[in-house]
Amino acid sequence: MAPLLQARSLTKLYGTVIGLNDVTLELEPGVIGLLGPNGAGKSTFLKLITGQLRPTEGELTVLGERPFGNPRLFARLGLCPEQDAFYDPWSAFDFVTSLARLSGLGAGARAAAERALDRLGAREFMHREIGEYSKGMRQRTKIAQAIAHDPEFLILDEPLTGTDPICRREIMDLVIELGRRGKSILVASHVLHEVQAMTDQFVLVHGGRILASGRVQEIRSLMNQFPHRITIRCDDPRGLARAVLDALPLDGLEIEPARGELVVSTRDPAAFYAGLPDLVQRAGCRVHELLSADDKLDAVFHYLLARH
Amino acid sequence: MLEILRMQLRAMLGGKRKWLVVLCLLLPVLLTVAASTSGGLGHLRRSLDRERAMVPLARGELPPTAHRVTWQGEKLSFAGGILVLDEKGLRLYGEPVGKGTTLVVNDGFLVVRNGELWIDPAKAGTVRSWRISYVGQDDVPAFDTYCAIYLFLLYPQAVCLLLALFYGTSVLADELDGKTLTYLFVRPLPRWRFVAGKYLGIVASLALPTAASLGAAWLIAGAPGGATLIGALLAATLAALCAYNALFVLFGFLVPRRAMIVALLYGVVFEFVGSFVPALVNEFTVTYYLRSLVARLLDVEIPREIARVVGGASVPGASLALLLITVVSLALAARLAARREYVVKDAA
Repeated sequence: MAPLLQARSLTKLYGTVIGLNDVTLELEPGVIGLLGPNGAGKSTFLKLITGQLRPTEGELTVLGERPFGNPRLFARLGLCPEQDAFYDPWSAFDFVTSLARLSGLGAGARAAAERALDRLGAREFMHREIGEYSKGMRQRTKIAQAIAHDPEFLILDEPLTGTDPICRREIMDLVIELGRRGKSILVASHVLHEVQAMTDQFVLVHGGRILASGRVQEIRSLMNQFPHRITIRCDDPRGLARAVLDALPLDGLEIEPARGELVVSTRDPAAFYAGLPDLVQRAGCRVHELLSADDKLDAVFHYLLARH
Repeated sequence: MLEILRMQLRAMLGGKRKWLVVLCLLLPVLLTVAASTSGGLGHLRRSLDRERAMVPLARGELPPTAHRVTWQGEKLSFAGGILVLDEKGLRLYGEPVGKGTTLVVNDGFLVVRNGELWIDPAKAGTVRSWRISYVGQDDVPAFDTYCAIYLFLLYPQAVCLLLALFYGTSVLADELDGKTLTYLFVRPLPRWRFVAGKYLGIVASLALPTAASLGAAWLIAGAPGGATLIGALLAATLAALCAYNALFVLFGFLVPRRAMIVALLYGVVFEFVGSFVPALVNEFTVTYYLRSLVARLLDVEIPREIARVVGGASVPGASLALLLITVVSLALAARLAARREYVVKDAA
């Protein structure tokens, strides 16, 4: 089977600043997590893969093609970018339809857009203006435009940022399902457990270099040494705090009633996320946003960096 | 490409800048309404009638002040050229001034026709100095010609340049600032189609409202010059929209973040000032060919002495030059789009 992606001595400089440094890597088709803290070089790597940037040195092929300005390759790629940007007066349906047309779907674009939005659970709101959407609705719309033309290789940049637990679960399920259907998916994130729920293959980036690539279990144990901080914005932080206190594995808990926030620390984020939806429902509380700063991940990267 | 065009049309109709377009297109109409209702246009018509009524004067009959200055070989400056009146006769830029030249001096009309000086008797006594303010045709310019100049300055020259400044320069910057460029540049669409689609979207959405505004101003002015005049101005307006937008789209790809300021400087320095600098400089400006186009289409005879300043190209020559400016600008923009990295800034 041809490799999904091949990089040889791949380097990207922004003037004198190094974005990506001498990366040599080969990835096989499948679902892969691209992990790294902010500023690690993930975005540069994704922009090189999606042909937005040209390598300063070295070579890169994606699905056997050089990516920069290569329309032939772009027909086979789908990208959900990190930035929360849309043509705001438009509806999700118009947005996805237009981009599906640009992907070459022509007369089938409307049906493809409807299918993709439906798959993301966006049917209810897809004809409303994007400006009225919540963060979760916007994430669903971004992913829908990436999958509408049924690409072979899907690239998702921080797809779960700012989403509520239900939306998070649905997006994860979608990635898993597409992976099972034989699609290759690269999920970039700075949150390990998010990627872990979708795949056990990873590429770890830090300081513009690839620190490690392979199975995720290797760094899981490292991660567990550092508690994760999770911020939950909801309408009843005290009520939710009471509900989670004894039911979920916690290392710490802070309530910020003025901001409507509950901040928890846990060494077992996977168990915490798995148990949270039921407790939220039982507490009768509405969760607006779930954020994992996961600042301790940076420490893990430093640890790995020191080991290299 | 059609989809990019459609997206651009929709962005323009829904964008905040549409109010600037409305303002740009409404102001000239209001200005023309003001000129008509305040009697400005009527005053112009009466002035021209008075000029036509001027009587010839023999050389010795000129008012004393004028006579003394004129017949002693005084040199008079005009737009960088020299007007000399001596024993060899009256000469402009070293060329004899004869049939085909009219000089209007100060408020009083002092006219050279067929080598003789003419003056408005009512104004003869008021002539005190000799600053040349106008050089035109032998025949008194028709009211229609003045209206053509007025509408030309308003539309092909000012409105089209401003609209291109707002939209042509922003083709890429809007997508970069709105962080939506990523969606477009990872599609199986050669980037030249992105450039062409955006450009056609701009021209298509601006052409009709601009033509409508021009038509309204022309009707308010009393439909001077009939179909010939409005036809020539419409042609020049469309050509101006095409050429300026193409040029400014190129600026947009050259310096995306500073395109508007660069285009503004270009417009003021090159198109307004440079277009009057003869000896090749003005032949690189859009304005020079627009002026040529309108003058030829309206059959306005521009004296040989100033044709190189105002616009001396033929209709095919001016059309070809405008087409070349448009096509070359777009081709360069497409080449830049294909070769350069244009990336939105990271959210982080």
